[in-house]
Amino acid sequence: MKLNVEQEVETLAGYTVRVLGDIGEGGQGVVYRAGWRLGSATRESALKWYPSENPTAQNSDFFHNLQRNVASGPPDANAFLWPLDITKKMDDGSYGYVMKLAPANYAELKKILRGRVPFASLSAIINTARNMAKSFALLHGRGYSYQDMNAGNFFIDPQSGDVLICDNDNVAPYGTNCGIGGAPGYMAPEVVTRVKSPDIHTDRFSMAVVLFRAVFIDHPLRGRRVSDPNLTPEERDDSNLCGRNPIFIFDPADGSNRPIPGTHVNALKLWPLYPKFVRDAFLEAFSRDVMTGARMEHRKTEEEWIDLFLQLRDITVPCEACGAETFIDPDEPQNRCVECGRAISKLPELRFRNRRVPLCPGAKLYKHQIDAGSDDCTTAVGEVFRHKQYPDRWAIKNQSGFSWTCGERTILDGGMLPLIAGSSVAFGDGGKAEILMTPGA
Amino acid sequence: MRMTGNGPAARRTMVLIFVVDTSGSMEGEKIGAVNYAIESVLPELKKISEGNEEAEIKVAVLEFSSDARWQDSPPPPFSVEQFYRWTYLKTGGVTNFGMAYRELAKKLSSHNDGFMTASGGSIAPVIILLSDGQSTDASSKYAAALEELRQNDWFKFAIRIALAIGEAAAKNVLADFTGTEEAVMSAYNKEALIKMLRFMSVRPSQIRSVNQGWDPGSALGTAANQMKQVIDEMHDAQNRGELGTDVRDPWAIWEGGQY
Repeated sequence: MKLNVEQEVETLAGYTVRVLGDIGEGGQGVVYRAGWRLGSATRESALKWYPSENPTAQNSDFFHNLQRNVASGPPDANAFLWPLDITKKMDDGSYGYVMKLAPANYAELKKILRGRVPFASLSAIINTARNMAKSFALLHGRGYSYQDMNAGNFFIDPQSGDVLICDNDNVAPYGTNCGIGGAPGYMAPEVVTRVKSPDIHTDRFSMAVVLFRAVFIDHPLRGRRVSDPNLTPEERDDSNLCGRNPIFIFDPADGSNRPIPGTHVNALKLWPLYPKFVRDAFLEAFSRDVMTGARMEHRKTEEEWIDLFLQLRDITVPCEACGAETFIDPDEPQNRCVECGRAISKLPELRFRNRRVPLCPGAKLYKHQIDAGSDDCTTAVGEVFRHKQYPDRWAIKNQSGFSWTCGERTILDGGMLPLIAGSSVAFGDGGKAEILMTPGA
Repeated sequence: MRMTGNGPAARRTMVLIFVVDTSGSMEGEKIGAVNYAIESVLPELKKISEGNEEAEIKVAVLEFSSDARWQDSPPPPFSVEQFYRWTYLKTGGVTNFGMAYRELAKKLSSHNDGFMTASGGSIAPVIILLSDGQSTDASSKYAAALEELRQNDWFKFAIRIALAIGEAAAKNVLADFTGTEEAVMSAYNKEALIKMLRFMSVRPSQIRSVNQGWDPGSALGTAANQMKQVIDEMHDAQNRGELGTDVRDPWAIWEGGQY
């Protein structure tokens, strides 16, 4: 059964939930806006409701797993809309669980894919992708897998790229599956072909699909083959395109599934605009070997994606000409602004062991850049200055709280580090970089 | 902005096909109620389609009596997102199922002017057959047309449901089409007809276009799962009284289809 507005249901924790209105209907049930009454306080919440017809939810393993998830709590309360309380079952077996409501400024990834909600900036896209990977790192780090990743599970703040993951009802410990297979187009090929049940490795396939769609909007496996009249309807079905015989739309060795101009517009437009190392990562993630071959259990990890999107963030700078964000790919002989197409002049660069950070005036230096052990990309530890009268003079203001050393010189917190070509900086907190002053800078 | 101002993701297309008996016996309240039901369901389908990042819903209407014709204004299949001014169907003639099946099979094709040609890909359709009468075509022709349709892959993978209007409707003929009697509903009054037709248009389209009840194994498995889900939900809704009563309107006890 479904619930009516104003209806109240008791929960297992001894509270009550009151239905306030509809939010939406998903694959597995209905979501209501609800008031979760905790003693005298009522918290506006979401109530996901499984009607008795849902066979997965009626499975007692699923119910117990949900109880376990409530008891264990979220890996990060700021990143997951986690089940907080479960209702008692109704006479017909229907029940639901309470979770936090997504704030109003968050949009579902589904809406972004519909072109309804634009990201505010390139940084917001990159942050979104990094945050997705980061949340799954936390989840997987707990020994869990998510099992049903798809575009309906993510709420995104299109301004900042902050991400909230919902539908955590299928989350289960490694080796446990409560009946969910996943959504077509997102499930790993070996789940589609029923070789195995969802686990961390299949999550990693789904994660690559979700990341690809957050960045390139279109689907990585649905290109020309999806409508090729020479293929039978069976061959054009997801069970084949995303299961028995998946081919990446940009597969370098097999062009049979390329995006169709005029149809897969976003993929065709955006793919060449991203730096090669980003494209290479997706080429690897959707290579035959990783999708269906020997490396199925060695798919790209969350950490690899986090690092990739951090690197991408490091090289995202405002274009001098149009002001929009663009990339400075250190591997490219000449960068052009992804928005206005104008050539970007060379910038000085900090060259660390495993990353290269181009420096532009006003840019901040972040903790993860100078400290290899950190992925904190929001704490500024320095700011880049360029001399107004002598534009070939550059400096970084130390805001890290530590002293930096450059040759004989010590730069205390608050001091200025002049950039001298070829010199080496030790950032106190572990990081060491060469300064590269490119000609023309 | 090139990087952030993206258009919508490419989607596949799911065509909802109404195959409507417009023979003389459908005249009056019956065709009136059918028209009203389809007209009123289009805005609802529009909402479902607009919110779905995976598939767009299009509609095509095949009317059949002595012959079979696609409603062609706008040209079928039309997007429910672009259009929902419904042109009322008119009646006249006999009930030639065979003609309808041949015409349907012709369009369930990925070639030429078939409906399964969307460049973003096609999802096998939802097909709703509505009739109040008996087949009037020669039985051999009918059998041959049905066989041809059953060999069509898109038809095999479709969700096929039917609505028998009134007591004289040939439920066995409709069951030939759906493949099972359980997928044939009966409406005996206008209220039930409208409620059933709305339900039959919305839920199957939703199930198909958002891939609920998807079978990872094969397209045929998906069709079977989704058919079962649709049938279960239709009967549940009927048992809950959501699809009207079985009180007979005067028209429901008329002889149908023998014009």
